[in-house]
Amino acid sequence: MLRFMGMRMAQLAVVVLAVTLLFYWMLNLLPGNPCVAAFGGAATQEQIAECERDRNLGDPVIVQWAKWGGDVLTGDFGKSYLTGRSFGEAINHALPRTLLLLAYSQILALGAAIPLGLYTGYKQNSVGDKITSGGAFALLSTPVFVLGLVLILVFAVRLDWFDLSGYQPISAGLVAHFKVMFLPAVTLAAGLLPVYLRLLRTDVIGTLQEDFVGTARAKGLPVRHVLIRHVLRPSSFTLLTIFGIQAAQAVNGAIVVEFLFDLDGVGSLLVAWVAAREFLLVQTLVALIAAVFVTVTTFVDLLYSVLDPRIRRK
Amino acid sequence: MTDVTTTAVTGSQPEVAPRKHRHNVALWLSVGWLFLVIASAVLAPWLGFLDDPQKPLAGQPEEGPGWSHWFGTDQLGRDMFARSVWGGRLSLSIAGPAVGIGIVVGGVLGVVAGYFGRWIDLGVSSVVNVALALPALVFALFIVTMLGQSYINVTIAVTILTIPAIARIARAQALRFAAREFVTVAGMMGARWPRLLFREVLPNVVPALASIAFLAMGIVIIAEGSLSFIGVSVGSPSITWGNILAAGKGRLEDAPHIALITGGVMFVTLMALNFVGDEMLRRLDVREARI
Amino acid sequence: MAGFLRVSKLARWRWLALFCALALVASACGGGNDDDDAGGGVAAEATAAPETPSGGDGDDAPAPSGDGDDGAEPSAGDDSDQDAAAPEDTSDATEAEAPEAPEAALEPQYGGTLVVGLEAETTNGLNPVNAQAAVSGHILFRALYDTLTIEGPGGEAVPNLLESITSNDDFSEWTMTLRPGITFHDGTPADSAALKRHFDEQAKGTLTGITVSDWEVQSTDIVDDLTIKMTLAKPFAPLPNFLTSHLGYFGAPSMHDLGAEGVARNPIGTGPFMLEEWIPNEVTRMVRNPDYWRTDAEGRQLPYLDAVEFRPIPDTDGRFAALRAGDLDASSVNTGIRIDEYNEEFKTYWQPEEYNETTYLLLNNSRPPYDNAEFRRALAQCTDRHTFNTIRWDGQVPATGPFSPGTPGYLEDSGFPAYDPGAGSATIARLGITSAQIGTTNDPANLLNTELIASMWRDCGLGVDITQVDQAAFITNAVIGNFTAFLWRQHESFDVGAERIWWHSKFGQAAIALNFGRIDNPTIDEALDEALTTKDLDRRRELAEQINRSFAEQAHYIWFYHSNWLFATHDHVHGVDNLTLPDGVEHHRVFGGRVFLTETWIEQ
Repeated sequence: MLRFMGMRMAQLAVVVLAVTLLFYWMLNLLPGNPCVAAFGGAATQEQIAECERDRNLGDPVIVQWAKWGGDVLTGDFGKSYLTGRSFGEAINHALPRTLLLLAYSQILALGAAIPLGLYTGYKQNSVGDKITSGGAFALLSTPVFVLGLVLILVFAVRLDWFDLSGYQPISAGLVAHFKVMFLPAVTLAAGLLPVYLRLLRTDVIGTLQEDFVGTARAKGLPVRHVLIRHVLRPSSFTLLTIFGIQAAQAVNGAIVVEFLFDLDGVGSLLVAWVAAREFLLVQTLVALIAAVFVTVTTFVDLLYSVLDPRIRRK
Repeated sequence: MTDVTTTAVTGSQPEVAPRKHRHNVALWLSVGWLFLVIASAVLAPWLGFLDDPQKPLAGQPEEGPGWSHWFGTDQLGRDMFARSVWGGRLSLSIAGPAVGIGIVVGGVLGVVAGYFGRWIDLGVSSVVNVALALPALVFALFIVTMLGQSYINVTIAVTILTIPAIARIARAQALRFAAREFVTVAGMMGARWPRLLFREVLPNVVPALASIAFLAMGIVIIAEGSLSFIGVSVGSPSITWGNILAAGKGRLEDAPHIALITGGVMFVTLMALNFVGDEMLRRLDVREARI
Repeated sequence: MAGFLRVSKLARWRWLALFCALALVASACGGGNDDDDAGGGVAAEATAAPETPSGGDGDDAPAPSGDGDDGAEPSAGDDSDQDAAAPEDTSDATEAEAPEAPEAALEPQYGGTLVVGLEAETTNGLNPVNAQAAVSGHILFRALYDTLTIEGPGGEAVPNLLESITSNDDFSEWTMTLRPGITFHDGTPADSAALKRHFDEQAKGTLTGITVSDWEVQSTDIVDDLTIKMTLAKPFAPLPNFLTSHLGYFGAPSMHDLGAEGVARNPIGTGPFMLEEWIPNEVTRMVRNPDYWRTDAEGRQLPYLDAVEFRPIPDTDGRFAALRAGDLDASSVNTGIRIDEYNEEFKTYWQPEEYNETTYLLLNNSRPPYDNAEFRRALAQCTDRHTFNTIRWDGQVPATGPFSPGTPGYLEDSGFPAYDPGAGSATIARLGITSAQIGTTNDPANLLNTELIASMWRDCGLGVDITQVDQAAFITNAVIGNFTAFLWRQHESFDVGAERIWWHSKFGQAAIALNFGRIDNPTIDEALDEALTTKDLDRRRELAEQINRSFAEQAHYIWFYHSNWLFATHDHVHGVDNLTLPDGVEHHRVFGGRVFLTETWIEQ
């Protein structure tokens, strides 16, 4: 087990190192002095010199890269020269909103997918199943930005139930917060829901055919009890796995949703940094995101095999 | 090319029809729609009834849908139907090559990894796993901003997105067939690996990949649309579906038709692609192939 | 399922799948090539290049520092509309034009937080030396700092924070005296030493430095605690007009000690409000300065408000929605599209008709093909400005030059080439120029404006490429000359002499230049130089007209429309841009959209 985990981590490390080195090399090919660009063209000589020192521009690419890696590992993530904002400061500002957005959308997606998945799996091929599956299929074919636009038009513009005023923290009041966060969360959840739903349905159908479920039903336990205790529990591991895999997907969605709803979270930060050519900050952030995701998925895999005896035996 | 598609599909209709009538109708509609979209995209320059998509004041600005302008007009009074068609043309001409290259590169990587296993598999799987854990849109954004917002660069960016997903599926397929009896038997009969790979494994993987091409197509269209939407796809005056949506976003209240009709066209096209892809996978009995 | 399929069927499906996939790929490839071949410009191209702004709305704008004004950006709306909608003419507009009248009757109330929506975040933070303030930036700065002078009646700047500013007869020696007893937010005195330091620091700024160096200051002497005397090497009559914006935002020496970055986050001025927090792109929050020096006309301590929150909302529609929903108390607006709605739903403070900014196509006169005057004139003939204004700006009569009606220098007919695509395309064909480039930001409204111009030029047989650049990059591109053409909004032209840094060839030579279009026109230079030596209003008007004609004759830029600014508030907000000058002078209200919130109060 440890060996498996160690392997995964080693894989991750090698790939992240290779990818960042590749980025560094590509950045180096870009014309112009990145430090001149970083200040938006209007900087003093001292500012540019300081930036060049910070970024070790005098060194060969591989040394620059190694120094960057060292800085990141020691918690020095750099700063934006244009706004003077440090990486940490920017993340502190952006991360809570993105995490809340992701959390709400996962809650919504799971909250809808679990009952629907159990129902459609149990009542396979019923009318309800077909309608639900059709709906899921349609959702799967809807780009986030199209759905978001429709939701905005209907619920924010026409009905005026929600606000488009940009992020409101929880401290501004729960109502204000959810008036701003609900539509983005729904938009994002709509992309996750069909994936969860399809998976859960297949899983439920499979589990329902297993012996222990038959036994439970033969004992006369109520359907709901069987579904929740004997069917959902094993399926929760599958959900856990897909949850990990979908996380990267969710960040893609978050970028578009944050843009659409003006939320100024991590996705917006990435877009802004890319636009401002703050490639080093982008690289640092993407490397961190990748590390977090791979760690999470590895951990989920691990948990999966620890929790489900059938897998462990295999 | 396109008629091959239809002929082939039509030819197979009678055999499948008795079993799933409803699916058949939907399949028909999907294929028909795709044919329509692709044909209009390809033929756009020669379609006499199409307005010039760039011509301002073809009608009054922000006219709603009507007889003279089926999809209405945009803020400059340009014909939205023509713009939707030309938008589809560019969106498809990005998605087509992207998926084509993605299938070839991803397919080769996946098949090689799945067939040979060992360290090749380890290498390919590592890269694929990490690539799948990266937020792909950021990566595309990064590439396009760095290289410039041109047709080629956007195509490169979205192509790179498709490769890991396709490689993963190809690998699973190759693994599945590499262990099948006919391959094992052929191996025991002295066939060497090129023969096994090209004659026995590949022909079994290719159809699955072909059907996955439809699903991948949908994903690439969405990816390019997302890039357009946040303003970093192919630049103006090129028209893509995403560009149209981005331009219509600010006018949702007063001229919702600009964004919504094109959004609808996109949605139906994606439905059709997904449906055809899913249906083919189902009939080929390919599992683990959802992207 | 697998069992159900017979082998032959499976095989057939395989081939079907393959063909379908190939067909898709192939047709799509074909599509791509066709695009390129069509040559109509659908092909994708985009390199990183220059660009600019302006469009119907919000972006970040303009300009750089310096002086009497700043930058760019257009937007939407106006004249014909304005005539119809603006306050003066319509009944519903009463509040707009005469905000003071009803308010005089109301007793101001203390307290409350005013939430203001702005068009953009201010690049480089709140350091007046290197900030690139657009209108939104100036509104922030006017809350944090008082300007040394302010636009007064008759095209003259009058003292604001200064008690007096006087010169010798030939305008080469300037004496500035501060009002006694004023302190900065940190309690340090706003005295002559601080003022000298202020100018020293401004001289070091990348862009403000360009302006200050033009004064050719030979010495700055401290005369007494409150007075400095600045000796210049040449006459500089418009100097007071430079002290109404960037160069007039008077910061404390203790602030400058923090270094450029420190200042950006810790501005220390004498203004009515002090910075509490600044979260870029989200909110700038300021609280009341309890020791503010000014009182209102009745002698009441200012400011009335406890706090002000500024929220940058670049999207014009978003800002309108937020104001309507009550998320904002007030909003700064530059748009023609919703003039009626604003007038109907809110209290509107319109900028008067004169000294409006002009939206124009900024051409880089140093770059081919735009370096050719004949070509530029032909482009002007190919540009249907009337149609442009009809579609994008509610039908204002096309601008004839950089001066709006009512501004000295305005001409009903400046000689700017009229729309004549036949003549234009003939010239372009004769010159053998086949393609040109225009830039834009990614903002959808800017993009549409640019596409419209591009399509007009294409009708003249010119191939036009559009390049897109990020909002944040466009001013920079203008400053460093990394652009070919783009829409821009600028030039209140309060004093034509102060426009010299934007138009004089002297400011178009360096790599970093404020004469963005790199105009090199001796007639214009001459007029601008003469304007340094005279305060005579008639002569200044003549010089401005000379400049206007020369601009038209050379078609340095292509003028579209004049945009005037609006500050819209809910009914419970009073006293916008009231400013009690101790000398009883009235300042020019909502100048360039900039407002003081010093005497603003909320009715509870």
